[in-house]
Amino acid sequence: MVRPPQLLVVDDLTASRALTVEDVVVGDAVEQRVVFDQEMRDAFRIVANDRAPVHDDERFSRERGFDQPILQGLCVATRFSRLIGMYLPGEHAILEKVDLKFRRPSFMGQEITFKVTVSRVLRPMRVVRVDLLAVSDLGEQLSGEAQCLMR
Amino acid sequence: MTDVRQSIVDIINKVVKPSSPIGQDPDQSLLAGELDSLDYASVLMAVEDKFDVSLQDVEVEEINTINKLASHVARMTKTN
Repeated sequence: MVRPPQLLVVDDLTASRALTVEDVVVGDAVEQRVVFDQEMRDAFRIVANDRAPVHDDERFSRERGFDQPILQGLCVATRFSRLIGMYLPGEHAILEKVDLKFRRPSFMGQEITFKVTVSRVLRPMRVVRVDLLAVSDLGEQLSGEAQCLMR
Repeated sequence: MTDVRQSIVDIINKVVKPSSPIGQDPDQSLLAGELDSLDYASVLMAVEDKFDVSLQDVEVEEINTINKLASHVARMTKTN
């Protein structure tokens, strides 16, 4: 009998998990609340070297209708990496595919809740598909889907 | 069985969109040609949806050609 799906709420100190494909049930989910700060943005800027003015320049951003520089969309999406790679499916997961839709701009200081939910398991291939969702008090920030291989 | 096989061929060609149609040799391993493991997983999920069957408890080797997959699905749909 299949167990009911479970929601795991994590923070930055929660230990990772090493699930197998047999441990994963459709509907299992993990979520974490994150507030992006200057340090996180700077770290992403070093990695991506994306210095487009809409991410850096207050005046440029205001002229384009934003109250402040917007975070790089992929900077925001990086937080899914932790949820997938450490918790669901966890340590045995290798990311194979990601499909993302950026629904609205994200800003420093904004609280965003990231949620990863198992949508599909294909045990013969050891494949797990997950839905990705990031939500703020304004609504959906980004959503998408990812596929992982369990090794 | 022929209908099931043709439906599977249609699914493969719809999911993978290969440069030339797949399915000429229904006994060739699906992973030996243009399909990679990502495509193959998508095909198997689409087959589960189309025929309302579960492929969770089979070994990959049992369903790694069009003929094997069609036989397996035909057996499952008969017993459903």
